[in-house]
Amino acid sequence: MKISEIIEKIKLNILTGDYEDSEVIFGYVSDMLSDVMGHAPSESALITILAHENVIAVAMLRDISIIILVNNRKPDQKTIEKAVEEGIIIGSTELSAFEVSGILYNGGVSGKYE
Amino acid sequence: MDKTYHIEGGNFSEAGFASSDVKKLLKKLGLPTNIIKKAAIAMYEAEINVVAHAYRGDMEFKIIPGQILVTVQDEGPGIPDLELAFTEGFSTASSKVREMGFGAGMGLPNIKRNTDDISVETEVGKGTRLSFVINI
Ligand SMILES: Nc1ncnc2c1ncn2[C@@H]1O[C@H](COP(=O)(O)OP(=O)(O)OP(=O)(O)O)[C@@H](O)[C@H]1O
Ligand SMILES: [Mg+2]
Repeated sequence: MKISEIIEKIKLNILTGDYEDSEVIFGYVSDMLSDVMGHAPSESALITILAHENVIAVAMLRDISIIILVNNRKPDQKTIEKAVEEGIIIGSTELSAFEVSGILYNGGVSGKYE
Repeated sequence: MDKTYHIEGGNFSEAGFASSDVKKLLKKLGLPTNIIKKAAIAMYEAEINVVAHAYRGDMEFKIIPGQILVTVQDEGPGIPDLELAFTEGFSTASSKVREMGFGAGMGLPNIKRNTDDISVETEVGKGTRLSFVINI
């Protein structure tokens, strides 16, 4: 799925401004950072409730291009600034992790346990 | 090439700085992506363990022909049972630390899985020295 398509389908509110409309191939759902670190496919979309700034470091280190915050979680300003600095997209949606995963999966985004 | 970073226990907002800095360097040097990935995972987990579990430490990073060498030495409580600490799912992380997304008990197993050699020396009440090697 294209990022623009994801934004539309899950009503994602992008918090990091302009983005490159690239293709998302893999997705991963987790709220534990070392699980993301160890098992998320590279360059995947991360679906999580973690809005703390540490998630940016993990995304940067694992080449995660977009962080989808579910259940309407919102990051603080510092987290947003760090994301912009690293070129990582963050958006927030009212949908749950289950709902977002279902929509992305149906749209062709796949999972892969590494 | 040789670099040393200081790590402050409890400082979660700076956590990951050293690993991110090294990752950028490895990318600039043009190392293969699978090597960069392994180094990023192992260094991050080692760095975070100092922040989450110890008082302060230093991370030393070195590249020699064919190998990446990393040593993280900390002043901290030490690890009383190493075998238990390396068991996936074991964690003594506080509830405050867990709320930030740490404490899955996967850090040390992640380090082990992504390195070619690892050694730990630890003394309860003093600190821990973790070294690992990644073959390039
Ligand atoms: N540098 C350290 N000093 C003292 N204790 C440590 C240190 N590193 C690890 N430990 C101990 O080993 C346990 C397991 O570490 P591990 O990194 O696998 O998991 P964690 O840090 O608890 O959680 P996670 O890494 O998944 O966020 C820790 O909970 C802690 O008790
Ligand atoms: Mg850990």
